[in-house]
Amino acid sequence: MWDSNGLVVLIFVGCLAGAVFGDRYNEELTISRLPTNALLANFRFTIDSDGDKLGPDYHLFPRLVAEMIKSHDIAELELAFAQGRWRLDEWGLQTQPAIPTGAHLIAWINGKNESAIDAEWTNLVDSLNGIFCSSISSISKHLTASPKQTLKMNGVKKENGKMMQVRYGAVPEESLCTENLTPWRKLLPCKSDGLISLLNPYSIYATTYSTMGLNVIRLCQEKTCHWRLNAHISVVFETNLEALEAGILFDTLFKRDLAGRCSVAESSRLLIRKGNDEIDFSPSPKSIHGEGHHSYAVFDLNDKDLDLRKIEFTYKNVDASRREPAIGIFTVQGGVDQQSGTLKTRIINSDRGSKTVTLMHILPWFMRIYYGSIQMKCQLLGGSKENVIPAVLSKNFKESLIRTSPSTIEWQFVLLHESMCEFEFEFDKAHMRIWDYPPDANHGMYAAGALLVIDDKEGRLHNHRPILGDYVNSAYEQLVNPTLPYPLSYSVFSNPILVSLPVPDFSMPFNVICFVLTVVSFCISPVLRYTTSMIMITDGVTLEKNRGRNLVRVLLLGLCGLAIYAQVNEMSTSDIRRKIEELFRKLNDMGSM
Amino acid sequence: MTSSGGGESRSDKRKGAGEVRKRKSCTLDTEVADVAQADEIQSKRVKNDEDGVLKVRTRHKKSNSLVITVLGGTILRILCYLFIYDYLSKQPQLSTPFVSFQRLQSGVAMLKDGVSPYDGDTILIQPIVLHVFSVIWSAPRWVLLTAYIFLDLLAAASIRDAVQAIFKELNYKDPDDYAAMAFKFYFLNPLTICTSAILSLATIYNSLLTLFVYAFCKSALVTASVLLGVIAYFSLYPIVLVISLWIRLRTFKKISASLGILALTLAGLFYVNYALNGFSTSFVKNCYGMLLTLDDLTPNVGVYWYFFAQIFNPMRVFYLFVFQLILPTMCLVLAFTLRNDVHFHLLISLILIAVFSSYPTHADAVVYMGLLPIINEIRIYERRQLLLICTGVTCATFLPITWHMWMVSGSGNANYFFAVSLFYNLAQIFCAVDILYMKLMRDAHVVMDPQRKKKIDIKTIEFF
Repeated sequence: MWDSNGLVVLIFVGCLAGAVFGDRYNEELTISRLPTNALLANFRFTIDSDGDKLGPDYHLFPRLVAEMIKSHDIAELELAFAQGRWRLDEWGLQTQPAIPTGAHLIAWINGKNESAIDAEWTNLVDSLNGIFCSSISSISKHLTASPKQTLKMNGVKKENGKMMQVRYGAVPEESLCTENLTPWRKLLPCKSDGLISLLNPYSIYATTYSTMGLNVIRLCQEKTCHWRLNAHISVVFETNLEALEAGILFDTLFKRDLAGRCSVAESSRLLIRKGNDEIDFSPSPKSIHGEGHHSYAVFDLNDKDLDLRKIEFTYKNVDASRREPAIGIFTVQGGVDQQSGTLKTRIINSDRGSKTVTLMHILPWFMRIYYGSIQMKCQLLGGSKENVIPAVLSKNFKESLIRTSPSTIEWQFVLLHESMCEFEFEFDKAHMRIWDYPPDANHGMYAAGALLVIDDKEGRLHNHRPILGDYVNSAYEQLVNPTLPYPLSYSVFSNPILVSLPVPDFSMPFNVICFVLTVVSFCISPVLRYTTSMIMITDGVTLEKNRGRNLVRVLLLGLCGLAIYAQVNEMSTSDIRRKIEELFRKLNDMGSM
Repeated sequence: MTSSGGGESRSDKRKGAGEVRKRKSCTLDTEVADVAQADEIQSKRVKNDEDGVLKVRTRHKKSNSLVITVLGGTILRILCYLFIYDYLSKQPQLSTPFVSFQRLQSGVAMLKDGVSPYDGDTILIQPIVLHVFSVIWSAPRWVLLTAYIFLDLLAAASIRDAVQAIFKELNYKDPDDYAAMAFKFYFLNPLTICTSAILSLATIYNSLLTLFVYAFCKSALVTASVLLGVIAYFSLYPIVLVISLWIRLRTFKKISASLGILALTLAGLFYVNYALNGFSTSFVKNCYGMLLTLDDLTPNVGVYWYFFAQIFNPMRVFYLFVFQLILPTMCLVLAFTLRNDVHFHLLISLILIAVFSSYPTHADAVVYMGLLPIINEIRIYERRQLLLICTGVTCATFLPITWHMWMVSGSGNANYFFAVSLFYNLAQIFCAVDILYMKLMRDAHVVMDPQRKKKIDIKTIEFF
């Protein structure tokens, strides 16, 4: 009874505080054990704006982001980086929002027409590139796609009579490092207090998988709208059972302790997923929310009684039952030469329910896709290995443009229960101008992996998630508020691929130009000669002698003689030059005398 | 007027003397009057019964050899299609994006799925071709192969008749023998066989081109103009053959009529394509824009792909203009020199098209190769025939090898393939230049010394 009263009071105070300060700031760290005994730590910092109008006074909502939204007329934005690959088969579904290896950027932009939207997008990519010290500008050059079916908006569009379109770009070779973290950290109101103090670059970038991202959404509840900025970081620490049983402190994971509390944070929580494990918490949490797979011990870090340095959890008994991965997706490349290849994306559904899925491939222009070769084969898993005909609901295909835009493939189909589908097609590898190749051309070029969006209205995949929380809501919000829907769809990314492209010889542009022009001149000069001159038959009479030509011959003979003389005397060129200089000096002397 | 005659080297003189000697031995062959005389004598002899029997036998032999040619060519094509289709269809010297069967397949699939093929720039094939193929797509593949073999037969027959017509028009001897040779030369040419075995669109375009050549030789104004319009519509560069057609027709009335028919054909075809493409001109930038801008740098046997992969960006547009203007300029210039020898102008234009078009294949070369027997009468002036033949054969052999070295085994780089394709083009260019040289020499000879009695020495008098 007291608890619920307390909650009501808390909410009331929260509302009051909101009314006073306008913007709200919440922070949350969720820690979850993955099936391989690795630990997933997911930070989420949420800033809610006061109202629909951003500015001109800014309290907590970062002015940088607000001005970007206003100047580019953005309805929704997501920018995320990931270093390493999320192992779907070992770790379960990706944390939502899912992030591909490298970086990706999604923006819903309002504009008068498509070209206006494209212009805004180019500016947006460049400004984000500058802000986050990244190298994603290749998106605006040739990696911009506008998929039609796969991406759905999570927020609400502002009605301003303009058309809205989505733009998507992914850069698989982007790497994530400290220089990206620093500007990201600067967006948040607390820069060195609170949960953010745990983000020690030395420890989080020494792991196998780490992500960083932010999204901006416009949310509406009964005509009152506000903007929400979610800044999130996920890190997977490779630990083992012994370490888990020895006890985990913040210091063990982050090599750093929590430094103080963030005073402007409305809430600051630590969630540790308990699941079916037996965990000793010290100090013991006030409450354990949820049940089954998604049960969490919740610590309120703003609680003054809690000693932040002493939070420790020790795994007593680990739930060893390995859950079969529900969804698997990976992309492989076939072909032995640099001329062409096949791309095969295998999608596995081990779940008992069939699902409607959308597969999206955004492939750079240097992969020239043969549309006629696109095919999908499905097969039931298990003993029978029976081939089934996939039910393709809709297709969208957009061809690539050379040096301008990537090709987009979107296939929506029904993925049958316990089945495996293979989506494959052939492509030619394009030849590029030598100035378009990256410095290390023989390494090859990266192509982004496929995105698979799985509709899950029945909530069958809910228990395959390592943590709660989705694109909009944080884990705690989903935990305490069961009316918030489970995410209706999940997205997973397959691995990026490295395409080895045919390369020209970079060392000889001048040679090529000279050779080709020589060959062309071999055609032009005789044609010119024969068409502008006349062939005569002289009656055996030799015409007058050409003195000029004879002079040239004499000169050539002289040169040959000189060369032979130099060869016989074993003279080097410098000797010859010296002798000639001496000769000239003598001549000069003679002249002056 | 300055002369360069005096400075000729001794070896040249010796060569000249050799030519004279050679020519003397051939005097009988080349003299038209003599030939006619010889024919008369021969026809008198034929009256003999024994000779009549012989003639019948030779005819039998000829028909036998025709059957063998057709059968052999067909079997070779079927074998190539059955066993090395995958290998051949990946060879850049046989298929470019403009004629590739795989691209056609993609285009047809897009058309059937309602995806606009011309939004991107992968499909470089005209809408009418896509629509025609989408109609016959459900037919089994062997039907298509049979159709391709028939098209090749048609092309070979047109070449044969064209050569025959040229020989008759120029009063050359043995028209039938050389025509049969042209037929074999075309139908059994390994390059033709490979081109049709991979179902390349070039086979279709070539059959149209050879039909045009036949109509040209027969002076069929309307047919030639229409065919030229069609073929120029599909592969653009043969439009320069209109210059040959002009100098063939000579009178202003005929030229304007043919121009009108040509323009009508082009406009009609364009409208049909425009309508088939949903009243949109989006196909133009793919089908013709790509030919002119060379954005797709897929290697081929031409000289341009590597050049435009390597050229510095600021000079790109300049060289595009230069290279695209070479072909029409040369054909135009040659038209003044060869205005009395339209067949040779046609032959040289065909060679230049095979060299200077943006995306040439071996298929461009086979048409002029089929017509080469018409240089038989002027062959005595040849300068490097053996060298050219050897270069051609060597390059055709080395191209797939260097391609494999570059693309598959990685033991060679792009320069190997480029060097071989460069020499291949050099051989073709020298072939064209030599034909021009031989023709001019013969003309000079006939005009200046028809009796062949003077002691002669051939000099080039330069005007500047």
